[in-house]
Amino acid sequence: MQDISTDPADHRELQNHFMELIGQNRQLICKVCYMYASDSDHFNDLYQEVIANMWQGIGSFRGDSALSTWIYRMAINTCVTYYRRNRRHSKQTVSLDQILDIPADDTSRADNLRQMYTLISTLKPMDKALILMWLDERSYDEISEVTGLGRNTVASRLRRIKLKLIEKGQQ
Amino acid sequence: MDLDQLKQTWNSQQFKTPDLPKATGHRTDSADAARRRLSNRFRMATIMAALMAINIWPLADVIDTPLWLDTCMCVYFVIMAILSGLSWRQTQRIDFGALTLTDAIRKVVRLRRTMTLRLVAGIAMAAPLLSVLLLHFLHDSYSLACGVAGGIVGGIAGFIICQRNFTHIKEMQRIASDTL
Repeated sequence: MQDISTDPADHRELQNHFMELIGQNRQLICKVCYMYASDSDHFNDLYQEVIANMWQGIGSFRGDSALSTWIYRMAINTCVTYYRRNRRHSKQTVSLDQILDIPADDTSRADNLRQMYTLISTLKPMDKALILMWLDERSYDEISEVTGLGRNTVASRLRRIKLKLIEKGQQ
Repeated sequence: MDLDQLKQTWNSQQFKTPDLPKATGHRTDSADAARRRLSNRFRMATIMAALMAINIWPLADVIDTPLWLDTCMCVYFVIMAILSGLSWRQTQRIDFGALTLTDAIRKVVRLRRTMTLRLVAGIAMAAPLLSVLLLHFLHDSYSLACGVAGGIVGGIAGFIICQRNFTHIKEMQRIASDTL
C-alpha cells in the first residue's frame, strides 16, 4: 500500500479531498456500519475504523473501479474483519435507535427498521453484505465485484436470503 | 414482510453520523494498525534471521563449535528468514481497498497458516539445536549459565510476541469460518 505523502502541502490537499469524500459518502458508510453493529458504541467504533482504513488506503485507489465500489469494499471488509478491542463494556448497551434520524412521531418507520435489523442480524456476514447492497439498489455486477462471488452466485444467494427474510417476517 | 417497501424505507433513511477521529494520521488500535504492527515484526524477524545466518561463521570461531553444528544453525536461520519473509509479504498484501471480501478473508487465513508453520518449524528445529549447543558448553559453567538464562529470556519473549501475533489472526479466522 502506498504511504500517505509527507509533504505538508500535498498532505493538506489530500486531507481536504479525503474529508470531501467522506462528506459525500457518509450515509453509505453509516448504512454498512449499522448492518454490522450490535449497539451504538459498536457502531461508532466501526465507523471510525472504516474512516481510518479508508485514510490509510486512499493512496492505493487507482480509479479502476467505481468510487462507491471501493468504499463498499473498505467498509464491508473492515466491518467483517473488525477486531473488537479488549476493553470493559458497560452493562447496558446503547440501542442502535439513537443512530437513526427519524421524527419522533414516525413510529411505523422506526418499527419497520427495527424489524428489518432484527431479521438481518441473524444472517451470516457475507449474506448481510449481499442484502445490504441489494437494499441500496446496487447492480449484481457491483455486488459481485465487492464480494468476490460470481454474478450467478450473487443472484441465487440473494433469492435465498430474501425468501428467508420473508418467512421469518411472517412468523 | 414487503421487501420492496422495506427497500424504499431503507433508501430514504438518514443516519446520524458520529464525529470523525481527531487525527486521521495515527491510530494505534485499528485493525489496519494491527496489520502494520504484524508487518513490522515480520520485517524485523526476516532481517535478524538473515543477519544471523551470515554472522554464524565469524561467531563460530569465537565459541569454537564443530562445523556440522555451525552448518545446522546457518540452515536454521536461513529457513526462518524465508518463513518470516513470506509472512511479511503476505501481511503486506492484505489491502482492504483492493481486495474483495472473500479474497481478504482467504489471505488472512493463508497468513495464519504461514505463521503456524513458522512457529512449529522454529520450535522443532531450535529445540534440538539449543540442546546440542548447551551440551557443548557443559564443561564451562559460566557459558552454560549464560546460555540457559538467554534461552529462558528468549523463550518468554518469543512466547509473548507469538501470542500477540496470533490474537488478531485467530479472530479473523473465526470470522472467516462464519463468512465463507
